[in-house]
Amino acid sequence: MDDSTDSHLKRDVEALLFASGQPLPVETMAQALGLDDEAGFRAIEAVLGGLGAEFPPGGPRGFELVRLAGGWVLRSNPQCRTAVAALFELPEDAGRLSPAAMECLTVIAYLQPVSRPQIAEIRGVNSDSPVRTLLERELVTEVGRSQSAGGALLYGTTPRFEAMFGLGSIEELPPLEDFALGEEQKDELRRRLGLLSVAE
Amino acid sequence: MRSLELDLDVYQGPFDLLLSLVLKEEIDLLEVPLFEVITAYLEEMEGAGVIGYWDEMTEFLLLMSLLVEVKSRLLLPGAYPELEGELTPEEARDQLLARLFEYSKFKAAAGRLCELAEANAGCAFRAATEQPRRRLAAIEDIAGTEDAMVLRDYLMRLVDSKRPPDTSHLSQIKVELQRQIRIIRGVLAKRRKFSFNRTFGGDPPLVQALSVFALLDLLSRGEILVSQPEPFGDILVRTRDVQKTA
Repeated sequence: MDDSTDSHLKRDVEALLFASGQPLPVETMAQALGLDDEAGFRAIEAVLGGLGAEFPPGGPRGFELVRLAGGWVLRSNPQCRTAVAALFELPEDAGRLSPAAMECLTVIAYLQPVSRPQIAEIRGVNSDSPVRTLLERELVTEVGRSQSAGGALLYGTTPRFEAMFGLGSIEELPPLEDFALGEEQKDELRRRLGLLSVAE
Repeated sequence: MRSLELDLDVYQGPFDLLLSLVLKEEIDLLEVPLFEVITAYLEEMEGAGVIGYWDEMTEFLLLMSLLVEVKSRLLLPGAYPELEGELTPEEARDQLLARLFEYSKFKAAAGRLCELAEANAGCAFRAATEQPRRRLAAIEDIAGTEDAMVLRDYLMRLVDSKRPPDTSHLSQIKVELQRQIRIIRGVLAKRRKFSFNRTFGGDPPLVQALSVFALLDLLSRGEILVSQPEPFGDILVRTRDVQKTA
């Protein structure tokens, strides 16, 4: 690919990103640009890499190129929040979610597809209301029915969830085992419950 | 949970400590009046004006229901025979701990997600158009085509897409009560009785509904008699004169 083709491709990719209001997967861009093969994917990814370096997240520019929800999207730099918020309504943030809803969302994100009884089992309390809130906020959606347990509805996260938490895909969630309690914390919990001698 | 000071016959102090002492069996649960604990909690919540803090109240409810269950088992020895496969107290505690450990992972992960959301908050996304632009043809179908008919088809779709929408199916139904009353009077003048379903059954639902109102109006004026042999069935309408002669 010569320099002229490169610059045309860069221009086209920029235009697609600019025109799109939602994350664009590389495959979609490749199809639109007639580069729907392995070499085309690589060329587009190279262009995206270059644009990513020009408009890095948290960089000096007013907007940034980020990989979100399985695609690439331009968004305003979070450091310009005050300026943008003066004119436009910003997307709602997770701060408006109750702690119960955040816990349910976390369980769904890590265990999806998962049913309400499974969520309640982990949290130890009925979780119907927080799950309803998450459905209304379009952060989770029904993804099927369980083959067992009376065919309970199963829930999974939506691209909106990945966008809100800045995740390129669900695989980018930090590993759950990183949050496991250490032995000291476990002992502390046992002590608080007055069970240390029994459990040990 | 909110600190709750208790003043019971058997114990005086914070609720958390009571719970801990009960778990360690230093206070006999049988001696603890749970009703008084609940009353004290509700008074405390009401006094602080925080009724409606559901997370906290749910936590308290869960704790109290566990205590009530344990106490009821203690009060009724033998009422809960050991079931085959029922957990021993040690196994139950281990299971409870395992669940707490599992839950704590999700709780900590939720905290991390909150941090991620905070880092990504305040970003505005492009909203190029309110609706995605309609794609009239797949690129591969028209790129390089020499078939004039194919291009004509796509041009026709383009022209169609600019046409004002067809609203003929939204034609306004002109109907009014007085007109339906006149129609019913006309039918009765000719036939002296009729079946509602046969006369109005083919009309739109709105016309049918207004015809029922017209019937009710005529009924209240004493001009007609109606009968409906079966619920939701046909309505038979006749003039009063027919009834009198019958």
